[in-house]
Amino acid sequence: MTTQAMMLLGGFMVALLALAYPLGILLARVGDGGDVPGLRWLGGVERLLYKLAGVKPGQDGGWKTYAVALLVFNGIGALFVYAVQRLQGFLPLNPQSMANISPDSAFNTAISFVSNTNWQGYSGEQAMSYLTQMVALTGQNFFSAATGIAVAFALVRGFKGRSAQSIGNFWVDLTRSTLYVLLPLSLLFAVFLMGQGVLQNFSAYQDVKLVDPIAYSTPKLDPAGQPLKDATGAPVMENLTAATQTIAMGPVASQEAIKMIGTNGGGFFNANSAHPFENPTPLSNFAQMLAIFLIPAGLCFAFGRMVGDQRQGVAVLSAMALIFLVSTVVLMGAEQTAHPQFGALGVDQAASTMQAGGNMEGKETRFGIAASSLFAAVTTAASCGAVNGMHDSFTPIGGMVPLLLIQLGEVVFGGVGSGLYGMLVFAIMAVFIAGLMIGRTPEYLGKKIQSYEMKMTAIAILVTPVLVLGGTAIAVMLDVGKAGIANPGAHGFSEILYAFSSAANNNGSAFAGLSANTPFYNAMLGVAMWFGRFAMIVPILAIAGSLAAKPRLQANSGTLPTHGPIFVGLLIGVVLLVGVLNYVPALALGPIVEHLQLHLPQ
Amino acid sequence: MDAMYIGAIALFFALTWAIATGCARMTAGGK
Repeated sequence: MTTQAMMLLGGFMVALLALAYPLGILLARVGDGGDVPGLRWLGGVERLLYKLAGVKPGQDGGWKTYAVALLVFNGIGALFVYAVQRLQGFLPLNPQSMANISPDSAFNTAISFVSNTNWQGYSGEQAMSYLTQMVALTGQNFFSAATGIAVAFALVRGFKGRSAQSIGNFWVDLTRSTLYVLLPLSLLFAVFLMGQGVLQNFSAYQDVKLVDPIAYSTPKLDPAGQPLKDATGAPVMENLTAATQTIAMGPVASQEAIKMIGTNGGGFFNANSAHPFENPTPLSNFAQMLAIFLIPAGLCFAFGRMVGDQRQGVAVLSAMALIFLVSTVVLMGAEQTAHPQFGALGVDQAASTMQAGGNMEGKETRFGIAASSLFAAVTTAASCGAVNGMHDSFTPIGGMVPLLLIQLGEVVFGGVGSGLYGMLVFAIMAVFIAGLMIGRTPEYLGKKIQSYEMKMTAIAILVTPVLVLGGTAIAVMLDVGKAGIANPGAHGFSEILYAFSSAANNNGSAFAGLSANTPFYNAMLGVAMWFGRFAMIVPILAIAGSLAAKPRLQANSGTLPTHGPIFVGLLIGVVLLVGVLNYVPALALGPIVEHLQLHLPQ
Repeated sequence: MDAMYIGAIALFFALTWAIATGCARMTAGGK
């Protein structure tokens, strides 16, 4: 790990904590339902929205009412995103005359954006009209993030409540999260990104003349678009010369801002944050990483405030930060390590003022190894999925760290809202294990954790491993699954495992190398994304409802303190233990084998 | 094809609803 990498990581954490703390105060106010300092003028807009929608803000409900509203809202959202894609050819704001999206791709993308995953089987600048990007995809970026915050607020109210029958009103939480948090932050961040050079226009794509025409060779295609092959089965190539380049335009900054702040990750361009119009400078890159972690970290502070003990929020945040720091150091170290096969050839791979050293394959030279590695750790620790480099080109260990961070359940900061509620489920598991060890009924924040909460916790924790491992097993057994692999062997297995891990944990980043825009993968990953999101949210809301109905007990001499280092260590242990038990066998078949193949003598 | 995929979204919704119903029944005293 270089000095630059250490300074970057240290600076990132300091800046994050400095920004997340005040945001936590604001988030707590939003969750508690009071006026939000500095944004009181939006109160009129909030009341108008309730009036127009027929929402009664004082009318809270139980967890079932909350869950029904959430599912109906997101179900309608999925249908809307599907319809816009299927009809985009007939709709305005389509200067490139993009055709309607195919049914299987539209289905996959609809589920993907509603579930906050933003897995992208399509190439944005080649497939989506500006209207689709703005109304369907960016709209869902806001709503899916607000849904996550709403569930986190509901769960926190479960801990906070005293023999209550209510966990809040979903429509109110959705409105307030969007109005007071996501929209203002996105507006500010979009203006900042435009200042850095991110595009924001409705122009048609522009053809520019190249300074030097480029000659290249490409496979010749038949009328069906498939490569022509000669008698020996080799592709027929044709030589072409490119004298112009088409430069994609569009309303990028407005989508980019919520893509990061909402931990959505779906890029306007196919290259995502590696594209110079989406992430132009090292400063924009640093700010994008901060934006990913900002709300997840702020929600930890908000959690402490809402339950009346700020130490509780700090404990959860500490557990997240420690796992993140160790993972990032391993990732940065792996990417800075010299490649053994280049080393055998005597290639100088040491970092110096003249070269980055280490593994630069698949990384932007604008960012280098440190900023690409940190971005990879941030985007996979959070359930963002934006990328500024190709994870497929990382070293086996460097690629395994993002994969494992996803597989831990997206609780290391995690998604907006989903990171906190996921980590609180692990906290329930931790106090349960501690209770078993000392023979007392476990309590967390004064609430007894009993049989029902543990059943729901088990469902919430096991949903994603079932989807990931089951989906991967089916894909590697079927020809349609194996057909998408670009690199057969251990790396190809990693590509499929990563795709299902990313989908079921609602991350959305791709390992690349897997041709996943096929009816098989669009359908299978659609299943993983939907149930990875909503089959986890439902039992969590059930926990919230059950806890809210219980009295809040005073701590006594037998209560396990949940704000100290022992609990932080226990929480980290439970997160790692569950992750390891679920995924180590699969990881052994992918990145671990690949690492051994790279380093052991052939 | 559209009917099939719209039906799939409706099916996902229904299955999640069923999970929610199952969770709610457990509250009512199921084991």
